Amino acid sequence: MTLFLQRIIDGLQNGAIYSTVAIPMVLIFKATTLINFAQGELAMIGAFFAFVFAVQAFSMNVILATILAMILAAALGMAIERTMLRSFDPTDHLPVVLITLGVFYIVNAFAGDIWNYQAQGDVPNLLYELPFIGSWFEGRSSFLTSETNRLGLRIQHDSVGLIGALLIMLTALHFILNRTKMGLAFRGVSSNTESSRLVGIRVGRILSFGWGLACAFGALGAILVAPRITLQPNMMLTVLVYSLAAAAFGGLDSVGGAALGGFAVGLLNSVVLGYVADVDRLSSLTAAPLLMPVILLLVVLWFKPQGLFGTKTVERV
Amino acid sequence: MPYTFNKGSAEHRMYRLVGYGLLIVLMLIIPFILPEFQVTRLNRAMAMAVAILGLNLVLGFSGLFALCQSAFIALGAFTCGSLIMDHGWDYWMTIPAGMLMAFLIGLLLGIPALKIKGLYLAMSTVAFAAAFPSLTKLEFFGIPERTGGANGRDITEKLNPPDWMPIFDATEPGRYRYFLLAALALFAFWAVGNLINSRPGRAVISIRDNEIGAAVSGVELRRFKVLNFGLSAAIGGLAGVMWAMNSGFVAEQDYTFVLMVDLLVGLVVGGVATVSGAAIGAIVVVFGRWLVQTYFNYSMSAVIWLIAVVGLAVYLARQQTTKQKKIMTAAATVVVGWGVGLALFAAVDIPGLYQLNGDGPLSQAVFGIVLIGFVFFAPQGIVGSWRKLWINVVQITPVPPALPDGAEILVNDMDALHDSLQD
Amino acid sequence: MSEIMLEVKDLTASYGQVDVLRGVELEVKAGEVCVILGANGAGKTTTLRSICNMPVVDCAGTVKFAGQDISKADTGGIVAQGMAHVPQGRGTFPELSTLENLQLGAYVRKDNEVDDDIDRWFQMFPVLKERKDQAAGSLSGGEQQMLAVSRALMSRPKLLLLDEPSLGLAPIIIEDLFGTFKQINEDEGTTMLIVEQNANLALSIAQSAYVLETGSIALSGPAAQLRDDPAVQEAYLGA
Repeated sequence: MTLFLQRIIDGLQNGAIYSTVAIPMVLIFKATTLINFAQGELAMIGAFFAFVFAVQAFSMNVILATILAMILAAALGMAIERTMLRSFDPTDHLPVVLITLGVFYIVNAFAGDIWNYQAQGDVPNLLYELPFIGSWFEGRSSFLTSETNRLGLRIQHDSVGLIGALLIMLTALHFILNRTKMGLAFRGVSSNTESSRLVGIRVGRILSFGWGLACAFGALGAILVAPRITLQPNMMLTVLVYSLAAAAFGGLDSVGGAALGGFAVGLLNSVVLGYVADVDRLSSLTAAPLLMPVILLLVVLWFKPQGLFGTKTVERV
Repeated sequence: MPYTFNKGSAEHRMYRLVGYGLLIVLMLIIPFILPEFQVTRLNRAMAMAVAILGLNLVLGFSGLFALCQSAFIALGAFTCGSLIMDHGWDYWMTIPAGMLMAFLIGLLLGIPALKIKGLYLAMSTVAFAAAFPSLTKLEFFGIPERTGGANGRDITEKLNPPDWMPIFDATEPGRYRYFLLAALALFAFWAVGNLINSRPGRAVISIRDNEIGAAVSGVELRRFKVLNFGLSAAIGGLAGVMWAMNSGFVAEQDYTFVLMVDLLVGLVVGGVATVSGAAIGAIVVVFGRWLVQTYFNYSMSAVIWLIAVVGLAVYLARQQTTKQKKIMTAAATVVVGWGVGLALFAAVDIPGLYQLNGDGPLSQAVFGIVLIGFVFFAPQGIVGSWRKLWINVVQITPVPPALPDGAEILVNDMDALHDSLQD
Repeated sequence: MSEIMLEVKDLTASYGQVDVLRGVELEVKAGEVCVILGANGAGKTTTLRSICNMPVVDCAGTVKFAGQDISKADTGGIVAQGMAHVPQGRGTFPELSTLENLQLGAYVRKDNEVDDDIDRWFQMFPVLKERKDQAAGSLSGGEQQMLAVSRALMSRPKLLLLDEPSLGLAPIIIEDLFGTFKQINEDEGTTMLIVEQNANLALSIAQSAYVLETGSIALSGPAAQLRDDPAVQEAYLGA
């Protein structure tokens, strides 16, 4: 039982990571009905920006570095949307898929060239640098115990921090999308672009806003998870596959769905692989963990393409 | 100037004869002009050309987002390797086996493709292609041993020229393999070229252009889509076997998602929905990569910054009205941009920002830029652009089918008919 | 006397290679209800889209709104200047709630009377108030039309364009709807340009009318005159 619960906790910890890439992907899909295959790489470069500011070239305060990196990443995303994607008809998917793959290639190569595909040392953990609570996160882990002291589950404090941070980011996103004028306009564009124009919304600006928001969010997510999955140019490659599954599972136009999807994928991965590792004949499946999100993706898209929380009209692909 | 002649006429036949003749001559001579290591590279280009051809069949001609061709190449290569090493087959027999293996998996994937549309299919196949290399670690049917797992597997029995062919030197097997692979490639291209022009082929194209129209016209969508998937996969499997024949070594890290993107670059550069584009694209990708890695010694950051500045300069210049203003804006942007760049690079001191760290990343970045560039400026690829220009030189006019006997011409004077309708 | 709210001259429009409008000319006076009649494919929707300069249409010509030349303005700017357009098929935001649809209608406004206006439209259409938190896509056709019109009026426009507002609605609802249009026109003085295929009701509340046929104006004049014209009756007022 303890083992099972431990697996659940591990699954949630990993799931938080997948959510941080799935959520921005869904934001962009909501705004533009496009899948941004370069999402992971843009988040990765955001994390590297922060690293450069905080450690490599300057010695900024980590929090300040994070904010600057988020702004830079947002600017990069907006520039990409404006220069490369705006001029294409959103219903013609091929050019857009090709362009996002091209961006994927370029950003990945750029990072790989500068940082040599190697994991960077001395990566600061944003959580540790937070005032007041930072030191609690730095304490490695504690045991969740019941009165009878029998459970003995181990939770790492920074995972709690990660999940907490994710929840805070989600709340902030929810607030931005549902309680601000910009957010309302964004949801309007996502719902009916033509009518948005007729209401006076400048659709181009909203698209930029969407991309900027998504990339800033993605960068923050990458900065948070970098200490855990190591900061290196290929850090997001496997995460991308899990995140695609998470986004599809939750519903491509549902931010909350993407968050839940990330956790679900993490849980599924951890629990299924944990179970499989114990079964002799199947134990090798743990060596190919990517198989699970692929199957999940196929199953979801076959039976319920709108995912758990997406709207059925997503059929417009 | 354009030489026009009718399709099917004697001149047309002569034109095609000369064209293909030149091609054959070129292909016969090339291996003896190039050094051995380039011939090996050319062999790999031919395998890629076949792979891109298969990709084109499903993506270009029928518009389905099947982005997992790299997985089918791997399947073909591993099948070949395993059959030879574990079961004593010889290379030639593995060709149909590899194709069949890929075909079956392709059919299997084609079934979900029936229901999953557009971008969703792209997502699924991308995930599949990215996950495929790791599947070699699954311990079922002895897969890790057959594929060599993470380290790859050497196929000890190589495709070497037999003794009774003195023209080929056993120490330079590339040339011998070239001819075998060229034969296979030519066959594949010929087959696909014919398929496109046949009834099933045109049915497939009609699905891409207008699915509802196709269905209404009686095209059995489901069957064609699934078969198309399978066929494209089979061609990918063939490419995989060709790959193994050339290198004699199969390893999962050769068939990653990076290969998939390379195939896409080749597809776009060559020309989507053209048959010859696959060959051109493959050559560009394989030899382009070699060229960039060998001769391009500039810092990547500098290159990217330069491209960004030039792009910005062009964009700003376009907004100006007079020619003088355009030039001034462009020049100013370049100067300011370059200055800012220099300042930035001076301020940000990261090791690696200036030097070129290995050739892999640079060629990858170049390919990304080329891909985006082509999508913007030349979406019809090299072949498409060439055809637009070539039409000014040679024009082949299609001849409408002859009227059957006894057909009655109802309207002789279209203009009169039109006039009468105006009132 | 009455100023000209909308003036359209030499309007041509096409979708890609297909030419739809071949030189449309019309004029709408301030405070009046003007109707454009025409069969399917005549170019009525295209006309409204061109007036708003929507990106989906390639259009050229001169369009003057309240004296200002808006031929080259972008849709957002035109809306900000006081034009509202209810497109064919309602154009609601289906996933957003009724209330949010109305709030979006006031997007260009910078004053703080938005909530008052929302209450006003809730009063005029009580069913919208009932469904204010419901997703707009779940409303019935008639309710969506009321929402669409309210949404358009939220921006306090000087000119309201309506593209086939009766499409898909039951006759009783259509009657109510047009009664509401007449009332709004009389109370607010909002100029209206209504495009309709089946036009009896539209002509009854209008002051002037145009007939659009294959891309250009075939007939024009006071509404009553067109209503009594036998040719118009046969072609458009039959059903």
